[in-house]
Amino acid sequence: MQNKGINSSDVIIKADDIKKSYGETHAMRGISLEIKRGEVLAIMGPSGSGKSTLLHTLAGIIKPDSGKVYFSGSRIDNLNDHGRTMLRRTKFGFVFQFSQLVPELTAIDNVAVPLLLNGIPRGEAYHRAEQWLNKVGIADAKLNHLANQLSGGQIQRVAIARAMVINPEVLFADAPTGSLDSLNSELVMKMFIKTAKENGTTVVMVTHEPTIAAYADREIIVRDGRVEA
Amino acid sequence: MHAQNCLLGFLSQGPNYGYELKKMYDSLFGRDKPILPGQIYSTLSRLERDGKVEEVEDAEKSAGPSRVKYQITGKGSEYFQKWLDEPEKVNPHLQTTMYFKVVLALMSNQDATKFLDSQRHSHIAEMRQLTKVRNETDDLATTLLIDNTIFHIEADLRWMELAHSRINQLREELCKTKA
Ligand SMILES: Nc1ncnc2c1ncn2[C@@H]1O[C@H](COP(=O)(O)OP(=O)(O)O)[C@@H](O)[C@H]1O
Ligand SMILES: [Mg+2]
Repeated sequence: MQNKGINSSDVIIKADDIKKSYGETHAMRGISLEIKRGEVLAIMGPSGSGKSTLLHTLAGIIKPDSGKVYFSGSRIDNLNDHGRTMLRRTKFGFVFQFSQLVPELTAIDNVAVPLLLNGIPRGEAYHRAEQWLNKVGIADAKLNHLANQLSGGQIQRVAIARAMVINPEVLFADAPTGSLDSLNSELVMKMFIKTAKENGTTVVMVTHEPTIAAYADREIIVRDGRVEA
Repeated sequence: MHAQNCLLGFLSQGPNYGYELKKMYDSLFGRDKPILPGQIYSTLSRLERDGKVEEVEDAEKSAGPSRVKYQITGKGSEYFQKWLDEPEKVNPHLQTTMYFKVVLALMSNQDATKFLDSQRHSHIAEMRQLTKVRNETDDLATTLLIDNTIFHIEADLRWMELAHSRINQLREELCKTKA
């Protein structure tokens, strides 16, 4: 098994014995894993087991105390702030349980922002934002609603559009439907996975709900900072 | 079927008497319905016929003819282990089987979390399959039926997760039963 996969083109993310502690709390006690390009992976486990810490480390947001993280064959655990920011702007997308849309901006503004930050001209940015909002099922009538006028399900849809609009290689999601009821969870997940598969986006999502993990191609279970076989 | 595996599980701790096996069964699984002595003896004789258990020489033989001591054979151990290692097919009456497996794995000093994890993967695989079918169907009746099955599987999974969290406590309880 050693060395296998680091350069292999079908592995997009690889973690090698990553560890992270917060004082006495060992959030990760040595986790190794490989994620294939285009795969949808669910990270499951009880709360406090280290799922979010793992997700953020794989996304280059948290620096592990030791161990290595590779994205497309390059180390990303030791990037400087600039490198990390570029990765997050151009390669990675994020969706969280309570997606923080900017409340005083409209739905379409929220989705256009990442493109504007990347220097895409305004007209083009708004055009693409509108296309994405349509894809995730936000009706034209809602495009100019303020974010704080949207329902929970609509907010998560807008958040998915905002994450997907830069056409990321990997989409990281932390309990993306954790705040939704069963029907909305199902509708949002169905759309989410369909969109990811159509675009070949790799998805890494944290959830403790088996009904959500069932949308993934594969699941791993984190317990007490370790991945169970 | 459970009776056979229970007795094999108990005997994997060491040779024992039918009467003791009944007491163990009742304290662990016979909450509402103690097992009949006749069922213990008929199960033992079936196991003996199949070569899964055998009688042993007993130093306390003087205690009387009904006190026969049994031990598990290699064939019996293999049969029990196979049952323990094989994840169960999802079905509505699975709770009891899962409970039996957890208790018997612990009693035979095995890692019961291993069983819980492989059962869990098997449940999620089933759920993944159903989720896929539900995503692809336009038929509302099918969707509703699948919803129901999915929530039953979810209930099993929640139970497994809790059982996993309580495994050390359960192990301690069982040590008391053994003693
Ligand atoms: N920034 C932090 N400071 C201190 N402790 C933290 C921090 N982040 C996480 N932890 C602790 O690390 C452990 C794992 O947390 P987390 O990765 O959020 O778990 P999960 O997402 O599985 O609930 C927990 O005990 C949590 O309290
Ligand atoms: Mg978390």
